[in-house]
Amino acid sequence: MKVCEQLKTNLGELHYLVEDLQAFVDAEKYTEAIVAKRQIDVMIIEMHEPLDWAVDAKKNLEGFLSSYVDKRIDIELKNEFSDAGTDWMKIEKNCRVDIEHRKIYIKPKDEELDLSRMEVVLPRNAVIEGDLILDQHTKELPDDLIVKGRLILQKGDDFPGALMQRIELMDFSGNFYKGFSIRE
Amino acid sequence: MKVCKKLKTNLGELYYLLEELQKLIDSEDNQKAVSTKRQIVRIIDEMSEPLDWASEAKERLRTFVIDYMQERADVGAQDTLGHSNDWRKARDLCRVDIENQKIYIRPKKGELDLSRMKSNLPKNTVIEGNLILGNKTRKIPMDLMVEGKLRADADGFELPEWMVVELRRMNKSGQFRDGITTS
Repeated sequence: MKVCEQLKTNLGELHYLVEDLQAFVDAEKYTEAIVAKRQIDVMIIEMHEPLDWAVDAKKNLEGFLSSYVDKRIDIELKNEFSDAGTDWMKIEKNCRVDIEHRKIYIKPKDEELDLSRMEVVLPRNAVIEGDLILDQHTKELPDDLIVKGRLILQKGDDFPGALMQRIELMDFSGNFYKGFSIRE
Repeated sequence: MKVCKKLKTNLGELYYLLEELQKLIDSEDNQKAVSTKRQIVRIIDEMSEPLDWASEAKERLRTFVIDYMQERADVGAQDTLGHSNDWRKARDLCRVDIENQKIYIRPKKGELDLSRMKSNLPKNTVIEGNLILGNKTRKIPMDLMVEGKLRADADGFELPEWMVVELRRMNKSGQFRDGITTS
């Protein structure tokens, strides 16, 4: 089970504070009870950020996967996630949302995700656990994209220059573990 | 132990929801966790009202008891509250009832004499006995309850007319169990 450390800590403190609150209410120590209640509020507020992030991340992942499946059918490409056909919920099992590190891990079946010929946009915080292939159909890339394998560009004449510059910058920042290469 | 039923229910729900939240986070069911978290916030909000009331009521009671002790000493009046050299002990004769949102004040010999004092009774007060007021009385909480008789005729003092009218109205509403006597 991969539970975010911060959430675990918050939950532990919440249990402790609710017990405190119970003890204060039982002892009719209302001022202390109010303080404990305020601390519970703070704990709950601290839990907003990781939980909201996780919910958004799942939605972003779902959005990406369902549009990937649609586009894959449109252009008759092979499914690189799994043998799940058009059922993106099964595909989703190859991916995971890591609330601890705020990352969305996407694992292609044969360790290569080919997004060439597709306009699908990878979600923010995505980590590709393998190689990633892009081409001029790519319109956007999340700045924090991590590719654990190699980024391969199918570069045609109309490959956007701005995107090329961004990819070079991201490679310089170490976003692509095995660097990037261009297929002319 | 006299714990407010609403608070008990809230606390019970809090424990339950925390368990739920823990399970949902463990199973990475974050959407449901957010919804459970919202329910926890609602429960915590619901607890604010009774707890804030109780905390303020305790403070008002404390202020009243301290004022009473001070004035009683100043005017050389008899201690009708009890143990009034130590407000904490005097407070033992009083209690804050969070369930019914009342402050119960029980005079030592069943009669609280405030006739020579300016000290104001706190809001939500119930006197468990008789209450004597005098011409120094400036204010009376509108929701005052007297479980005995209210006497406002001590030593021939006269209360202001508006206060007599108000007391009669309160008596008509049944706030003074054994009625009222005014001069």
